[in-house]
Amino acid sequence: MNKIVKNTCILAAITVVAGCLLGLVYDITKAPIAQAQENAKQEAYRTVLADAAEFTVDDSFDTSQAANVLTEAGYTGDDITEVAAASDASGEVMGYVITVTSHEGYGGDIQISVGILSDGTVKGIEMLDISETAGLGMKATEAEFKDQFKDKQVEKFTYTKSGEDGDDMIDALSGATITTNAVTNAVDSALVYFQNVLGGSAQ
Amino acid sequence: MNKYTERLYNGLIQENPTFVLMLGMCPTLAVTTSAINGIGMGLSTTVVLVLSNMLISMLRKIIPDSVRIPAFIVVVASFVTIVQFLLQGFVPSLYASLGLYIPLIVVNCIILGRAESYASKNPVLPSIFDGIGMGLGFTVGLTAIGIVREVLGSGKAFNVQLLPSSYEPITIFILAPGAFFVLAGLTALQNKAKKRAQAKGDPRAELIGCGTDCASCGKKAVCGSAVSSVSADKTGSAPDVGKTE
Amino acid sequence: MKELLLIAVASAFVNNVVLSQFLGICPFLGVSKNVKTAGGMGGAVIFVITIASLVTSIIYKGILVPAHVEYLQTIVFILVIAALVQFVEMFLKKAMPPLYNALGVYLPLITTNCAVLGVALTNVQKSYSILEGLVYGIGTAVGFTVAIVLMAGIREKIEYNDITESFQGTPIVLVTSGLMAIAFFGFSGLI
Repeated sequence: MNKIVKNTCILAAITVVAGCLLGLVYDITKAPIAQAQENAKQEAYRTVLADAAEFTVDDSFDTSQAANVLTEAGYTGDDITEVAAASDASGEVMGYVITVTSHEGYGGDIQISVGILSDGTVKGIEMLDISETAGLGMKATEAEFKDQFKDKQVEKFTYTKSGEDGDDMIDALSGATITTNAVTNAVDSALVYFQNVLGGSAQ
Repeated sequence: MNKYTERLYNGLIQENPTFVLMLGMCPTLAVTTSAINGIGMGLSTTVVLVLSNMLISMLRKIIPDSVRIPAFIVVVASFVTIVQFLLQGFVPSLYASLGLYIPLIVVNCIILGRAESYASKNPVLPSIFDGIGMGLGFTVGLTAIGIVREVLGSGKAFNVQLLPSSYEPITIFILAPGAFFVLAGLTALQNKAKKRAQAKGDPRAELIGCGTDCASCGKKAVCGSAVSSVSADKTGSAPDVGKTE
Repeated sequence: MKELLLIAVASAFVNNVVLSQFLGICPFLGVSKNVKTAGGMGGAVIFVITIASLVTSIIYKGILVPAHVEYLQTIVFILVIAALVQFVEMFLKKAMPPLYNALGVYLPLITTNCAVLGVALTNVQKSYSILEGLVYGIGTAVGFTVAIVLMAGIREKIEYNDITESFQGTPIVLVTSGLMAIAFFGFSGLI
């Protein structure tokens, strides 16, 4: 009996020490982790809206209002996560970066930042978080796919499997229609939010 | 060869965890979609393996025999979580591509197997070198598979275009089935080597691929220590290994 | 309801735990020599994963989140799973001897089956509710059982085939797994 108690105590002690140590490491690495995430975000912002000098995160952003706007427009699989106003060197607002989380991905949620100029032109998209199948859905992160959205001024994008032409047509990734659909819908959600809330209008 | 370099040689070549013992198949198949991922996973595992081997060897007199497995698991899980934080903070891109498989290092047979069969019976320094050897052996294995899959599947290696653009990538090699096919080819080669070794009467022939039929880590640990005992006999340097329950 | 059905089908077939996520490869290769033992292993896995996914998501939501120690998840989950397997084994031995006789030998092997820890961690990662997590767990375990039983069926037949010497044993099993993985791609049209 004594042996059991002793063994249990040793095991418990090891566990407690391990737990405390983890807490310590967690505390130390918390700041770098937050910093790394912030850096990744800033870099994505700069990629999608290269001309902007500064990005200010919109603190007044209202999640439930955004959700309502999207639901009304029929995009139920997406959430707007963050909106940042982009200003040029003179401090004028020149566009927005809208970050959308899509729940329609094949391998989990996909988070995309979309850069939109004030006149409604999409300047670029960048994936913040994506875990699609390597070789299929992951091709969405390649420039060839992302550039299809670049410099397009349209009301909404549609994907096509038959290679139809048109500014608003996105060639689907072969073997990854679900990913294509998720990304296209996410970009469209950003456009909807931009058109309805941020006061932009697409011609 | 002194006993530290012997440990390195042992892990890298003689008992290579991927090609000879066939341990840790889950990450081997899952993360080798590219060479970079293979290296990343291999090095993360190496770090955990070295640290856990070191600590378990230090605590080997304190941990009671009857609760050693849970105690090992706690130690390994703590180190895995620490590595996870470090990757998340300092190499976020790798963290993103390895994803779920980082916490799953905990159940990687190599780590518990080495803890059980080597670190819990040997002094600290050899255990550390054992960890480095095994870890690097694993890294080499994963990277090799990663390169094969990446070159065949996308014509690149380490993200550098290697094959001319006229090469139509065989995407299937990056997808799940490709992992099985590449590993199948690999084990077939290994079988051939085993046959040859048997024909020559090399006693190590029995050890090649001995992890393959093991259904559990426990058995694999025994399997690993059987191998260690052979190498111990050879060098006569590491006492006390090969005592299996 | 539709959501739950989707999770179940997706986890059992489309993202089959063995053939597309590579979790639980060890038992898949080791215990698939004949249909009967494969079925036994599958049963034990369904049993343990179901309980484990329920218990771990309750612990995560009930203890780790309120206490703000989410970072302890890996260590807590693996300990819970190890203890749970022990407990289930003892309980079955006492309360249900027939079931114990059928599953007993496979239970200790399950602690280190990465599928169990994988399910627990995925539940957290995908922020599933307790019910969703349970369905995901059962689906995954059923997927494992389907894969291992099919594999055992094929392996029983392979025994009689004339296979090149180097490919006998594990290599041919791996080739078969690869072909099965291709076949399982067909399920991706389901969702």
